[in-house]
Amino acid sequence: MKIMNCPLNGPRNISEFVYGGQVKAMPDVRDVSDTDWARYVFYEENDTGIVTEWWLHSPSSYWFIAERHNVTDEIIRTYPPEEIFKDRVEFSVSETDA
Amino acid sequence: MPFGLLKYGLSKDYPFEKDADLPAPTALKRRYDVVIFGGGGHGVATAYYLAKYHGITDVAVLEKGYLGGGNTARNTAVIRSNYLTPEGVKFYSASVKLYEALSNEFDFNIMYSQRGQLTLAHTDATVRAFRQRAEVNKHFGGQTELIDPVDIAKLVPTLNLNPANLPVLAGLWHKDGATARHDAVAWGYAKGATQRGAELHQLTEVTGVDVKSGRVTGVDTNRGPVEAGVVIQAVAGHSAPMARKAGFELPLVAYPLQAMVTLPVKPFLTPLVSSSALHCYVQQTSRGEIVIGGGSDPYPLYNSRASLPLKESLLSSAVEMFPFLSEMRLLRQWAGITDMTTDYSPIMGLSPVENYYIDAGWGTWGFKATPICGKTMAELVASGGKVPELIKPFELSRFDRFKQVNEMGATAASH
Amino acid sequence: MKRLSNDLFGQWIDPSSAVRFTFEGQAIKALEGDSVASALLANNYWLQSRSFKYHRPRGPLTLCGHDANTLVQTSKAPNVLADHLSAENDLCVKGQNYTGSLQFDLSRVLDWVGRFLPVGFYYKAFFKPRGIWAYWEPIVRKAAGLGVSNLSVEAPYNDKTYAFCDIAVIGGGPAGLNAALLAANAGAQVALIEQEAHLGGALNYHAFGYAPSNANESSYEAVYETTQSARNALVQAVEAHEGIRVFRSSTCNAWFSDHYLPILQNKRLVKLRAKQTILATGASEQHVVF
Repeated sequence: MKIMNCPLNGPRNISEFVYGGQVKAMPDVRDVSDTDWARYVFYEENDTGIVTEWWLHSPSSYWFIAERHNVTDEIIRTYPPEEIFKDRVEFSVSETDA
Repeated sequence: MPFGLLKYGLSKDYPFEKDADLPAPTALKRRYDVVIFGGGGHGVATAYYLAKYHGITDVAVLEKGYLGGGNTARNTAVIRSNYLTPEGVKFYSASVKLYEALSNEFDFNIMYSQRGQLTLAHTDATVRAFRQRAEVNKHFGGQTELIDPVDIAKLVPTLNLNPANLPVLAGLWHKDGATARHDAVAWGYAKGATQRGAELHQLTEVTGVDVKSGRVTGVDTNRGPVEAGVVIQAVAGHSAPMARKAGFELPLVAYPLQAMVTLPVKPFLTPLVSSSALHCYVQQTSRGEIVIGGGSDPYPLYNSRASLPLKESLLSSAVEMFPFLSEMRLLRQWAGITDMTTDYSPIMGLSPVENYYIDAGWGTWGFKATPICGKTMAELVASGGKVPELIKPFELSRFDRFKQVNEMGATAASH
Repeated sequence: MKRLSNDLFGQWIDPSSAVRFTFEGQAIKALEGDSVASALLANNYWLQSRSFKYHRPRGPLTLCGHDANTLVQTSKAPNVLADHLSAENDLCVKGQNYTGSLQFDLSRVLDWVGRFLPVGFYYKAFFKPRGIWAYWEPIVRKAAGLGVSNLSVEAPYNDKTYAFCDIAVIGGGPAGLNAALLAANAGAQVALIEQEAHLGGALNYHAFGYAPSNANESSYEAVYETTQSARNALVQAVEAHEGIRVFRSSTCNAWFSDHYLPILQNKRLVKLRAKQTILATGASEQHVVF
């Protein structure tokens, strides 16, 4: 079976990992149309080629990102989320929204 | 008595050379009224109903590999209609009805065997869900009952009723459940379609879709361009990439689905048996082989490779259900590529491109729907784009309106 | 008893031993190291099975060790290859797929009417009038299938273990042995997987370079002995090498992603992870269908 190179733990059998869905930008929930929200929920980058995905190393509960070719199953690279998520996202609801 | 077989012994010619089921390959014309790409069960079934019931014979079915070589060859041949939603039950029940008459419909024995399908419940929640499914089924004329372990033991005496310490609490007994020779379904439809004038072109791959002003005008293939009045895509696993060639997206994710088969043994198992908790189902074909299937692969992949972890978990589940299977020899392990929707229901009907029709999102539930799919897609074409009532719930636009037809609970082993 | 009398052969059997099993109710005298098929041949039982559809007589037709014509039934298991099953005391072996007896299979009438039952005949018949297949199917099901499952067998204890290597060589014949030695001499940790109990593959039974056209008996003997010395030298070198881990009586039955190899060893599954794989499984004899 495939070997996945976990950025934290090194190369492990893929059975130790859980696929977490594609990395995609979530629209602002306060400001999105129903159609755009449906697009976000139901549609994915599903063409053949390289995809960017969330993966969880189950034994260590470590989430990371992998670039993988979805036809050859080649794992191009894996990297910690900090590489693309640099800013903190505030989820708290401000007074103006109440 | 099968007196029809006498002609094979009394003739000097090698059998089937003179009256071959499929005509010899022909040149690809520059234009057809209808182009169907994807030469699996669904594609040739659509061509068949177009030719036989609507007199539409200027039809080409284009298949990049060989006839029925995709998921039609790779499924585990389960036919049933014990679904959860009224829309699903109506649809699949219509398919079962067509299957019951199919061998005689196209004059080819698909070895349709209505032996009944039994799904095992190991938790209270599953028992409740099964009760609901039984009632919905019966409301639409199906033969589905919730039965207790005593009756299960009578139906399948060889079954272990306490597999993996998950005791069987009840069973969903679906008398309409059946199995058939899956390849023969494609061959029968292809024979019926081509003998009425439709053309089947194998080793012919669609490489592009031509769209002008929002309407499809034809396809590009490895054998040159083909103009078409109407195009139907029926390609299973690669539905999403092909739709993108036509300029739109489909809400699908492709996962491999693996299965395996043993060497044949004398008959010991009559019904098809499935366990919801063990994610494994087992049936014995007419030839005596034991077919074992289960849940989808754990991550998306456009590839039909098999894997060891799934082999191990699937076989240990099968051996829990039938311990003596441990002494059987496994012959083969394979996979198909399944285009999964989020609601485990198909996507059928119109697309954003005019005259370009979709038959996709068949995931792990496509084989049982082959006849009804062919019939309804043919009606869609023949009516000039009016979507038949039976498939209206499966339209692509349902996702934008959050109107999913949720059948996840009724896929026998996936969840 | 039909054994080759030439001193050249018989390295795998112990002539001073005695093993007794039954075949179709008849007592069979075998030796340690025999397969069921070789013991049956020694006792002049060439008929060991019947073909699937036409019930033609079948027995070992190749020497490859996994001849599909030797499928037999034991008390525990159906569809066992007799030329791979070791002869053991008290084994109860029977033929498969016959009506009456293996010798006088009544179903061989299907061969006499075979001209009316060509390939795929069942797609052309048995369905008119509608519903008649429900009558034919039980008959077809009983005719199909090979062995009979023993429904009371309990799942035995089997275990699993992991192994790792740099290079996995699948097949311990001349190519595999050489590959393993070359790789190990270059510093690689090698796993050598051989299906049979003995290494050597074709070197065990071929007389490489022997040409019958200019033959006489002593020339064959000389060539065979040369092959045997080559075999022994290779096998000894492999077994002595610390960098080579040898798996005998082990079948690697698949290659999975990233060189993940399942190795079946009787009651154990070894899951081997290699960095690279060399397939040296050699050639198998398969006869033309008849």
